[in-house]
Amino acid sequence: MLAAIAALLRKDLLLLVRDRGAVFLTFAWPLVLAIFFGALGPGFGASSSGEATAMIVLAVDEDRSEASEALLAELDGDPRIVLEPEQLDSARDRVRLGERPAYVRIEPGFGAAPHPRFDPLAPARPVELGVDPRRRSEAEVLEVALELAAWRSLGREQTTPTAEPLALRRHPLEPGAAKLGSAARPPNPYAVTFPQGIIWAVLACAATFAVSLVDERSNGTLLRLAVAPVSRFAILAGKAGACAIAIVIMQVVLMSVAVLGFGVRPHSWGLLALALAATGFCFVGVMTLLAVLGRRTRSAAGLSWAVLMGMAMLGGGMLPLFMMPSWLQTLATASPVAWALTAIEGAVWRGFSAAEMVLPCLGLVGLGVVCLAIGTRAVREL
Amino acid sequence: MLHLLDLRKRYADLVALDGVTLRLEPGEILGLLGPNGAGKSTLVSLAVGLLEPDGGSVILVGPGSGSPRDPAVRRRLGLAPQALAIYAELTGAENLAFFATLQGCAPSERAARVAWALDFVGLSERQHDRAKTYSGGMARRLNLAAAIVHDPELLLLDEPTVGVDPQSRNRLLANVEALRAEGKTVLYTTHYMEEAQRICDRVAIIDHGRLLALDRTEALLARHAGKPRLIVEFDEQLETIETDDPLASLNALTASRGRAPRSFRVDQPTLEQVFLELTGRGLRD
Repeated sequence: MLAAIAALLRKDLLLLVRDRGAVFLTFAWPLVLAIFFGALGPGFGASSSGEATAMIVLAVDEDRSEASEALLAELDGDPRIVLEPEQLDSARDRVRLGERPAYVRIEPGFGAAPHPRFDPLAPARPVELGVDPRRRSEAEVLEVALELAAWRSLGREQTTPTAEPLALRRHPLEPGAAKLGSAARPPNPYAVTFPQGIIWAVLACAATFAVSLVDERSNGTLLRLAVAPVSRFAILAGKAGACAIAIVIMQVVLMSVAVLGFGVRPHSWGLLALALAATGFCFVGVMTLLAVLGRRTRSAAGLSWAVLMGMAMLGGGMLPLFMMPSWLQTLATASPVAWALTAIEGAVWRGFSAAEMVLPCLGLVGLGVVCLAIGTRAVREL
Repeated sequence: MLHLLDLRKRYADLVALDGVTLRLEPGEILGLLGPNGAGKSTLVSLAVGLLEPDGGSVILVGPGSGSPRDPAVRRRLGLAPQALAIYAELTGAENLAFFATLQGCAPSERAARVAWALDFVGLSERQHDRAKTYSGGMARRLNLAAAIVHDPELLLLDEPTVGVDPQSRNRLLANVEALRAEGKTVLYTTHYMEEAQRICDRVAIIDHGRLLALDRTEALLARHAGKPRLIVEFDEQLETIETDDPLASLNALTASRGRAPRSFRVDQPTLEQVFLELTGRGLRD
């Protein structure tokens, strides 16, 4: 049976390589996306649409003065922002882990500092902003909202043309419990875009192979496979193996380009390998299930694309999460794309410890196992 | 070789096969004739183990006998489906190497089997070209080669010449006859009566899921198609005579008229007439 699986796997890889459209979608396009958006630098994709749904921002009020409370009240009153009180360490951790896009910290002494309204020469009062680099578009909306809230809290009175009510100080995210030392670098834009490029590559591979069974059916070759003395499981295993190899090749290519060409330095190679393996396994499983479900008709196979695109959207791969309704933002945490992004970013620049990596990786592997199990059961009839 | 015993299959209310019994003898070509929807495809699907019969059984006899749903038994079968079942983006040789591996050919003999199959269907010179560059006839030949590359004892050929030019058709028919000469058993499904008449040792006629007739071709013709018809033209008058001895009948007719005919021809009985006699309709109706 192994020889048959190897033959099926080799055949599917050959077919993939010879399909120029699939090669472009799977290999070239994610690379283009990662490099292009990385070149745009921080803040790519920024949107300050007033129609945006509210984003949840962590508020750390260490001053607890009238001024700080007024500022936060104005910020909370902004229709784009919902504040959630939090302690500093926890807020930093939650942003680092990707749970929230940003936190706002008002340090002790904020309220006691000279009031810009009465002392135009007084330095702007500092506010610390911690931002998830992947979600800079949300952060830019937050910065605008914060400045607006500061003006409102001052009674909308501009003291001098040059005075600024706040001095926003961005606090870089630090590695978490892992703290890997000299290898760690602040994330450059490519550290953010290449993990997303990898996700696109994985999704493209999964989508390409997910329609392969229905392609085999429409080409007539499925009939010949079905009458060959190999099990349905072997046929599916061949496709899954080919998909896994294509995904691994693409992951290695993208990470090599990121490291060698764009100076991305993962915090942990071991955890990165774990995250990439878990991501690959999960989406091979998803591909298998979608291939089996969509094996009979072209329209059913089209469902595969819809499902994968839905996962990408929910995972924040296509649209900033804050632009979605809050219930969708909550649902987004259930998207394997979000898990995969969190795991890969955790190894590349979020500085996850092994313990922090367990949850997203377990989620990915668990979903992969469930999908593989259902797919192999459902494929008894081709 | 292949025993189909009292096969029954339904799709909801539709009876696809209604108690069909067929026995293919080793080394023969059995033609399976029937219009669309007669049950031929269902029969072939049951014969290769793709479907489970509702009743009856399919047994491939001989060494390692059993149901074709058993993968070990299935290895003794080769199927050339009506729809081309080859990978357009792979070369001819890659297609055959893949199917040979899938059928369990040992690596040591795979290259030789691929070379033999390519040579057999006359595609050796184009073996490194992708199948998508092949003409319709060449693709059909590759489809046949993929069915025989693992040297099966029993071949199921489903409309193997559909849509090809006369030259390629002749070549394919010659290939099938050569396979019989090598001792292969063939179940040959076709719409083309002349093909069946040319190469089949026996013919089975199936309609509405039932086997209407099964016999040697000549016997079917003699029993159901009537005698040869002599058609003679005298000036503007045509005369048709059914006769066992067309030459004697022509001589007698000429003598009785006292003049030579302008033209004459003899129409031999055909399987089309057999089918019409048995079903009351033409095969392509």
